[in-house]
Amino acid sequence: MTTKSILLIDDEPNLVQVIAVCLESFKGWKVCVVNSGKEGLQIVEALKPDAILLDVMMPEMDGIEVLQNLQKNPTIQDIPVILLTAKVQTCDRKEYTQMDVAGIIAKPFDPLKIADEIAQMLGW
Amino acid sequence: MKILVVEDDQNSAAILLHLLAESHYAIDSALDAETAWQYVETYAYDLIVLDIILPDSNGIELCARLRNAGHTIPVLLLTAKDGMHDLVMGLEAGADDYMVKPYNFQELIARIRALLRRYSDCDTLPKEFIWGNLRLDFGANKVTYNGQILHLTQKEYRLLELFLRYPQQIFSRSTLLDRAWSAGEFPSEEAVTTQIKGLRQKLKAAGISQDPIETLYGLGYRLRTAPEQVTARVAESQAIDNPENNLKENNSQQPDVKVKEIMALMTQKLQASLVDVIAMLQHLAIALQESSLDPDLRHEGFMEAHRLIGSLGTLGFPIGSAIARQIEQMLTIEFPLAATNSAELMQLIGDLQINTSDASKENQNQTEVKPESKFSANLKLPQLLIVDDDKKLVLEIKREAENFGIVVQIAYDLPTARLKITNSSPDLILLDILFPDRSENHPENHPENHPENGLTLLNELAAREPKIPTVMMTAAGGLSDRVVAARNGICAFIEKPISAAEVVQTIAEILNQKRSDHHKVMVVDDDPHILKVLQILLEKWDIEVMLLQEPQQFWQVLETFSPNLLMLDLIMPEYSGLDLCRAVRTSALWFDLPIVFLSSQSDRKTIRQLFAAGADDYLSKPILEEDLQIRILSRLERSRISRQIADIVNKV
Repeated sequence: MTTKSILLIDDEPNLVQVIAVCLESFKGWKVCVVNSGKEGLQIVEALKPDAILLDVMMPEMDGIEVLQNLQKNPTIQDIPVILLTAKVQTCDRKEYTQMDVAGIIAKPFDPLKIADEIAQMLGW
Repeated sequence: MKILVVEDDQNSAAILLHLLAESHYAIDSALDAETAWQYVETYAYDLIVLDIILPDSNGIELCARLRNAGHTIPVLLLTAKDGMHDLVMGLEAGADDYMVKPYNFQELIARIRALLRRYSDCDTLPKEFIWGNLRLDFGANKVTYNGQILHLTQKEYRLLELFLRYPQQIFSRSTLLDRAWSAGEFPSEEAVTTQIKGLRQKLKAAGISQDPIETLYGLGYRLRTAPEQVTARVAESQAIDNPENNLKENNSQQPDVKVKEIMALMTQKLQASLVDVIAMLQHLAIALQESSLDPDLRHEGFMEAHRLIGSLGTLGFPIGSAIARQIEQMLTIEFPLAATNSAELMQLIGDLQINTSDASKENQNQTEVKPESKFSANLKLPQLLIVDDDKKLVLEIKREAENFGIVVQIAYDLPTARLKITNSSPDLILLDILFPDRSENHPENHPENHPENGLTLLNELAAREPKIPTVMMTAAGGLSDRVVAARNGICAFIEKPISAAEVVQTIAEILNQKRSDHHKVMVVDDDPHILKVLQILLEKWDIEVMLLQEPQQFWQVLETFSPNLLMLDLIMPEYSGLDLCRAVRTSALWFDLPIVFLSSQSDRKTIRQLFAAGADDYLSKPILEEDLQIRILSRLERSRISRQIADIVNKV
C-alpha cells in the first residue's frame, strides 16, 4: 500500500514543523514542506501529492492565488486542497465555501487532533 | 553554524578563522564596523565575535546598534587587558560574553560553543542526527556509517548537517550556498552540485545502499525518508486501515510524545523569534504616534500579528493568540488607524509580551478568570458569559465569538450562572430567559410559569452593583417581554431564531462601545496615603486606576496607561503638578486630557496658577467623597461624550 503524501505550503516556520510531525507521527503520511506559494506551484506538478495543505495569508503570493493557479492546471486540479487559515470570521468562511476546497482548518488548531480532522476531510 | 568575526588585526583574524573552520563553522570576516553591519543585514549569523577596537567605530557602538535594531545574535567581545571599562560598557550595550586578549584559543572556542548552545536550539535537539545507520555526532563533529568514520570536507559536513537538521525542507542551490558557504567565497551554484556529488560518493563508498539526498530537478535537494522509517510508517498506516487491528491504539502514545516534544521545541524557537517581532511592533507603534507610519511597516506588522495568531494559539498561548488577533485587527487596512490609537496599540504589544512568557502559559489554559485580575493589564480580552441551555447554539456562538478575540464562558443553568458571575465578573452577559429549553413557543415555557428562570437572574442583575451589561436573547419577542427587558436595564434584545454570527456581531458592537466607555484615571501624588484613599474611592465606581508616586516615570506611564483623566498633586519633589500639567498641555497627543488638581492650598493666587497652567478643575485636600464623585464622574462623562463625537466626525 502506498504511503499518502501531502504538500504543505505555509510560510510560518514554527507551525509547519508541528504539522509535519503530527501528520507523520499519527498517520504515517509523507509530508513535503515549502514556505511560499511560488515554491508550492513549482513543486506540485513534480510531486503530484495526494493532497495539499495551503496557508491562506502568505506574502507575495497568497493561498487564494495559489489555489486559483492549481485549479487552472488540468494535471493537478483534482488534487484535494485544504486551507489553513487564521481568517475564519463569517465573511471569510462565505468566501471559502465558494472555492471548491476539501476543507478548512482554522488556526490556531489542536495539534493532537489535526491529523484526524484532515483524514476526515479527505476521506482517508 | 555561521559566525561573523569582526577583528581588524589580520593576524589574529586569520588564526581565529582557521580554528573556527576546523570546527566546521562557516566563517565570515569583517575588518571594520560598517562592513560587519552590512554582513549582518545580509546574512543570518549564529554568533558574532567582536573586537572592541575597530578602525571606523568601536565594538560597543556596533553592539548597541545591533541591539537597537532588534538583532538578538549572541555577541562575544574581545578586549585588551586594560580595557575593563570598555568591557563593562560593552556588556551593558548587549554583549553576551567576553575574552581578554591575549586569549587562549581553546578557551575561546569553548566559550563560542557555550554561547551557541545557550542561544540556539542545539541544547534541546538531539546531540546526534540519525538517518538509518548514518550518524552525525554534532558534539564531536563526526560522521559515521555503520560505526565507520567518514572523512568529509567542511562543506560536505555542513550540507549533510543541514539536510539532517531540516528533514522536510527542500533546499535550492542558492539557499545552500547562503547557509554553508562564507560571504568571502564566491562560488557558483555548480559548487553545490560538486559538493553533493562528493558527499554522495563518500557515502556510497562507506556502503550506504540508498542515497539519503534526493534531487528534485529544477527545485533543489532534500533528505530522503530513511528506509526503515518508510517500512515502519507503511505498517502503521496498514494497521490503521484495518479495523480489527488494535495497533493504532498501541502506537498512539508514541506519536503523542513525539508531537509534544516538537511542540516544546517550536515553542522555544517561537519565543526566541518574538523578541524581533515585538521590537518591530513597538517601532510601528512609535511611528504611528509620530504620524509617520509607513504603509509597508503597517503591512509587515499586520502579517506578523496574523502569523502569531496561529502559532501562539497552537503552541499553548491562547490569550497571546487572541491579543495577536486584536493587534492584527488594528493593523488591517480597513481599520481607520490614527495617532490616537498608538497608546492602545502599545498596551496590546505589552500584553502580548507578557502573555507569551513561560510563566503566563500555565495560566492561559485555565477557564476561570480570577477576580483580582479584573483590571489586570495582562488580561485585556473581553469576557462573555452565555446563559442558555440551547447547547448547539451556545457552542456555535462560542466558536464565532472566539474568532473575534472574545473569551467565552457558558452556564447551562442558573446556579452555574450565578457562580460564574461572582467568580469571574464577565464584561457582558448573553441571557436566554426561557428555562428549560423546550419548544420556545409553547405557552408553558413563558417565564411566568416557572418559579426560577432567566427572568429571575435578570432581576438579580438589575439590582447588582456595579452593573454588568446584559443582552437578552429569547424567542418570546412580544411587547411585554421587551418592556420587561427594558425595565431591567438590558442593553440589547435579540429575538430567536438567529444565527450565531448575527449574535456575535451585536455582542462585539456592545463590547467595543463598553471598551470606549471604560474610565481610566491616573493619579500622581507623592503621598501614598492619598493614593490609597483615591484608589479605594475610584475603584468603587468601576474606574480603572493607575497610581504614580514618583513623577520621574510620568510620561512613560501616561503613554502606556492612556488615561481618560489625570489627577495631579500640586506640590511634589523634582517635578510639581504645574510642571506636569504644562508638559501635558504642550503634547499634540495629550493636550486635551482632562486634568484635576489636588491641593491643600485654596488661595486665589494658587487657583489662578492652576488654571493658567491648564487645569480643568481642582479638589481641596482633605478630599470629600461626594466632591470627588461629582467632579470626577462628570468630567469623565464629558470626556466620553467628546470621544464619541470625535469618532463620529472621523467616520464621516
